[in-house]
Amino acid sequence: MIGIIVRRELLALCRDRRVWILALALLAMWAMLYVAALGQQQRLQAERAQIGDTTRAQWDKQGIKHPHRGAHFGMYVFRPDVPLSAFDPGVEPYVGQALWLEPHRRNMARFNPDADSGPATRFGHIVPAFLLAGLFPLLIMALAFSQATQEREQGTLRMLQSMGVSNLALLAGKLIAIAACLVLVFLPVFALLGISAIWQPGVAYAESTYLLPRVASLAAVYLLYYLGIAALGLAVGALSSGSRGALFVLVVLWAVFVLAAPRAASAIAQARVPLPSATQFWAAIAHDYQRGLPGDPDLATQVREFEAGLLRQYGVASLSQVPIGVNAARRLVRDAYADKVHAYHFDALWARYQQQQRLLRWASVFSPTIALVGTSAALSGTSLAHQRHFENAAEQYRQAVNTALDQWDMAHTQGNVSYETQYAADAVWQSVPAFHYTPPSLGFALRSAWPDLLLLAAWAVAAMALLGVAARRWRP
Amino acid sequence: MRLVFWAEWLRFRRSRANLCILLAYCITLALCALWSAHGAHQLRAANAQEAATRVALIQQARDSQDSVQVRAQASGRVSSPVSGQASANANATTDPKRAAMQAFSLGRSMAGQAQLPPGPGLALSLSPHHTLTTRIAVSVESRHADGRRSDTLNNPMLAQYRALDLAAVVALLMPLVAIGWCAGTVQEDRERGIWRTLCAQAARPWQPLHAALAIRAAALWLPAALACGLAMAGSAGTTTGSGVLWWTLCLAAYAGFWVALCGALARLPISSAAALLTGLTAWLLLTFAVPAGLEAMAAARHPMPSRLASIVELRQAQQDAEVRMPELLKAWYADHPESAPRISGGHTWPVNFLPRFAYQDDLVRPLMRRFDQKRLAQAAFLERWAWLSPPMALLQVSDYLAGISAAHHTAFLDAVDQYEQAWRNFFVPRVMSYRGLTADDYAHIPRFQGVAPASAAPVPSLLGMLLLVTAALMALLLGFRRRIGRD
Repeated sequence: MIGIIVRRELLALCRDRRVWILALALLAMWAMLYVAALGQQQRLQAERAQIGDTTRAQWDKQGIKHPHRGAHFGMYVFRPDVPLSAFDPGVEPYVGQALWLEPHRRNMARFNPDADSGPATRFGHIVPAFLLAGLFPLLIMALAFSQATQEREQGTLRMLQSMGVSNLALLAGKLIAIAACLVLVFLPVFALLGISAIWQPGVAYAESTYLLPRVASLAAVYLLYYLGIAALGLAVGALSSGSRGALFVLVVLWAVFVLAAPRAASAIAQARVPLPSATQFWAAIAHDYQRGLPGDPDLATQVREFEAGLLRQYGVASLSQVPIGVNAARRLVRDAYADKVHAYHFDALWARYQQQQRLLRWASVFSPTIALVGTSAALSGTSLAHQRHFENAAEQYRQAVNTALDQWDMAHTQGNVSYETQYAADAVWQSVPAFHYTPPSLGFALRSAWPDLLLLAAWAVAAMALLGVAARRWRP
Repeated sequence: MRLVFWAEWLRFRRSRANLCILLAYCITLALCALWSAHGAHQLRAANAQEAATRVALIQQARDSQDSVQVRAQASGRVSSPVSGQASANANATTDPKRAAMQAFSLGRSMAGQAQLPPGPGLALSLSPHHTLTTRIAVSVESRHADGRRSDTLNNPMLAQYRALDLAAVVALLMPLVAIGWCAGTVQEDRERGIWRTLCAQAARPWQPLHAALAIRAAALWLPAALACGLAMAGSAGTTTGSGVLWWTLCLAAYAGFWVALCGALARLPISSAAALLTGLTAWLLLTFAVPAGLEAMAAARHPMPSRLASIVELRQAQQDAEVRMPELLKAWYADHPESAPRISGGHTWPVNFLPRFAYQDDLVRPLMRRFDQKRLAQAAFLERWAWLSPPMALLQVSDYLAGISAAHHTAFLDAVDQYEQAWRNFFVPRVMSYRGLTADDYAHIPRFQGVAPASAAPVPSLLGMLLLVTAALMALLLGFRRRIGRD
């Protein structure tokens, strides 16, 4: 029975020229947006690579300096482009593009593109993923509800019921037909995504093949979302008395899912888990560095103890007699403590981010779009977890570079050497290895997004259950 | 006409769906207004707290200097009590390097913080105050490479979901309610078979439709005006009068635009559901597609320089300044004979760094300001074309009233540059000469004078645009009025 219904519905959908025109128009719009985003991404990628090389060359050719002054010149690292960021940039527009690595301090990435954007982005960032997650559901709803309301308004529902066709079979058949249509329409979208990800210049073959499972996972997740939306559209169509009323209810639901719930959830998360102001955050780090973290002695005491230890270790009366570079040795101790203080405060900050993320997940109960956005960013490699992964890698590199420079300084000097003395040449700067970042695997993405995935699946199941309820109440 | 209005009002009031929509609309706006007013209060309180911190830092530095002097007196290094001229010259008798370091420490602390004063409409547009740099701590050091002195702290994931700004909510919600109330009303009456009866009952068949639209426009505008007005007044005090008035007028024009647009859709020979979908498509285009297109055009017309490329230029300036440090130091003392150093021999950090920072900033400042100039040019372009997208025009008005428009922000950055210059003129000679700060000097530390109130001229022009497009649609409606009832 269902097979016949599905065939009939598919035939009706295929014959409906409006569906095709709408689908083609949307696909064309999406493709245009994606191609533009891809072009922009490739320009940025090329620029980032070029700037990365130039800043490295600036580091390498600093000339003769005191090594610590050279370290203070610092290095910049740039997060390598994620191939799928043209599709879903996730948090990328809202985090800095460049991270300055310098001694003593851990910085935050600077120059976020959102700060340079115009007022319209406050309505929504028009990126290919937003089109799929935010705007396409509206059209799926519009397509789905009329499948149910038309049966009643054209009087065919009574006929079908008199022929013994069950409501559930009818609605299930319609849902399967819509799902088949969706697969047909979105297949080119994800095929284009897969092809462009594989063929992207600068992406190695091994990397490109690892992208395919990501694209496939994205396709599966979006289809699950659309299936839920289609089921909801059908259910509302079946439960409503007229087309206009049904459409209005669906528009309200869409506005709640896409516009209201994410904004309200974001505001509530900010209010429930407030972040310190930038001034407070950096002041707390400066305070704890000088005065010591809870349970630790203050910095002056730590340094005094270290110097006393040096004198004991080398059996000399003054620091100027110590056979290693005292300033560099002292810096190593101070910086190790600065790293500890920074890690303490940054971990606390990230913990707050995660608390906010958990609150946002709770809000997915009111909107499957929130869960989808989180999952999509994770699978595209542009989520908050991915950003943290990158920043942690950059921080480890910063610590390694500064430790290496201080160790070199310590080994090549004796006693107290003035900062005005210049004795490190280009060979020292060039000996510092370049920053290589390996993005995390798909497993990492799935681990970070599994609650969102679960919520999305729960939404799909709930929508199906509502469709079941609607089938029982569907009257001619 | 009065009876027609009354009849349409009764029709509107007796529809349960209309009342449900009105209730949801009012509740959403009220909640948003409360939220925004609370957020605006918090922001003002945080600004006040930051200002207090600034004062406390200066006081702390002064207390610390006093205690050093007391210790110096106790150890016999200062012979007379600290008062009058003796107090003013107290530092002249203390260690010059310590005096220079004290002045330097205060000069590079967060005591030099400048804040962008929010406008009377802060409650309308809060999120840009958290996204843009609205607090900058000027310093005797170069601040352009250091994000700690200006950057804000936000969870990028929350930013991804956008903010709950009152103006954005009104700009998004009002059209949706207008579409729900007005799009396809004539078609629905026709589908229900009552349209001809309605036309037959009225002397002029267009009057009931226009009365219905006017009632819906008022129902759209009044709650929004009340909610926004109360949020603005509640969060800003007494200086909001003209701001509330401008905003209320803009809301009236905005409500009029959407109702007129939906009224025009009523003339289309389509079903009520199709009219609703057409209204929705128009909303999507005007809210998302047109602004995105305009922003792309603005970016193409006034391309933003690359932030990444500026890093290379910044580092070049840093390296250049570092290489020229001895030469810059010498030149500084030659240019400032009144600030001759109190010590002989070589100068070390921080003294030999200050001329370098000044030189470096002379190179870097114009580079960094290019971005603001481009942002300003793009904003001006968007303002010229705002009539193409009323939702964007409304947001621009809210930004002006909140004091966070591109023009305000650029003026703020100009003022910060001037403040930084005054700050350096005050501190640098005291560090370079090793005089440090005297007790009297603390009273003369430069304060940020704020930003000259930016011209509100764009608000009337944006309102004019909104009124113009609304008037054009209304003229279209009136032009169609004679054809109403003939079909």
